[in-house]
Amino acid sequence: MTRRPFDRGDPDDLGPDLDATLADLERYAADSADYPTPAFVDRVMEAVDQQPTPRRGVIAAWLASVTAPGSLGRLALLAATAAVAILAVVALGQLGNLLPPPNLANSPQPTRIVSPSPEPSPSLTPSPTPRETNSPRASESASESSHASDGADTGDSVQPSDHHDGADGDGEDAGPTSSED
Amino acid sequence: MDDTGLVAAVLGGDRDAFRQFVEREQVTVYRVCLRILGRPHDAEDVAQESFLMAYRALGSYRGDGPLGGWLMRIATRQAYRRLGQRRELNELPPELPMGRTDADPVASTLAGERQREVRLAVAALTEPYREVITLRFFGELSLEEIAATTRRPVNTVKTHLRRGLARLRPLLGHEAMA
Repeated sequence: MTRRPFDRGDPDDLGPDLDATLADLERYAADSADYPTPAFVDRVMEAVDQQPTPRRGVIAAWLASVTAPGSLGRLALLAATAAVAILAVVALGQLGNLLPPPNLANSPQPTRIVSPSPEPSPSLTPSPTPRETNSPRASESASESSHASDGADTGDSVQPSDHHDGADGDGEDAGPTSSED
Repeated sequence: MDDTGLVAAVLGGDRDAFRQFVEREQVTVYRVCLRILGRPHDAEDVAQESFLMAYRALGSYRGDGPLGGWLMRIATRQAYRRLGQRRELNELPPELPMGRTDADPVASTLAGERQREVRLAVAALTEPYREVITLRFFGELSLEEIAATTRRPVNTVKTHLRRGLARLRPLLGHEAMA
């Protein structure tokens, strides 16, 4: 394995604002370039000699056999992967056949959610609502209907009927409280 | 002897092959432990522990990265674990400065204090930045070796290195340039 002191060209886009940080790390690495004591290897081997010989793990052994260059393991790995993929597709298809057909009769009906309409805020000046009347005067002439729409501006009752006589002319229309005020 | 042959020999019971491996890697493993822990005695202790762990776990080595990098990763984790234990026990006496024999005791003390700041600043980084900074600067692995060892793309390692350095900057008291 190579030992490489840090090269500033290693990472891209190292700005000059990192120079001081790099200098600290390089100085620290240089100052601590020490060596172990001469007896270090012997001590390690003494401890190793008390250990049983390690065994190759199952996964590592399989990977080693599969990835070994020049072996048939690579082909075997590819074949196994393809077989697993095909089996998975077939199994999914079978699973689809096993599922019952969709029962449309029992399918849930869409429910209509009626959201409450915003309530009108209470107002002291409710606008008069036109009422349908059977009075023949409401549809008799255009002049009368124009008169009714004009009346809306002044607060007069838009109804040409005589039901709101008491509210006529007060400018605030038919609210009982406002009229009483 | 290459890594694959070495592993096969050790797994076949050849302990001399493992001795060669220890002789080959002892300096770098010791240094990475020393740079993390700051004390030679602790560094040798953890380095020895790491070789022993590597020997026991050699059967699980997959061969998809350099054996030295695999060992370095074990040593790095062991050293940071030891550092954490020392902190929990509040066993952090001031260390002597490494690699310096300044006649001036004040300069020597300041150098030792700065080394301690660098060491603890790197230790305070979160993963994966700490590991990449440690492997690159303390373990002196190349970016390609770090990528192979950690099984990450080289560009990802570069990004982690750059971000790790940026996070290290305020910890070391370097203000960002305007």
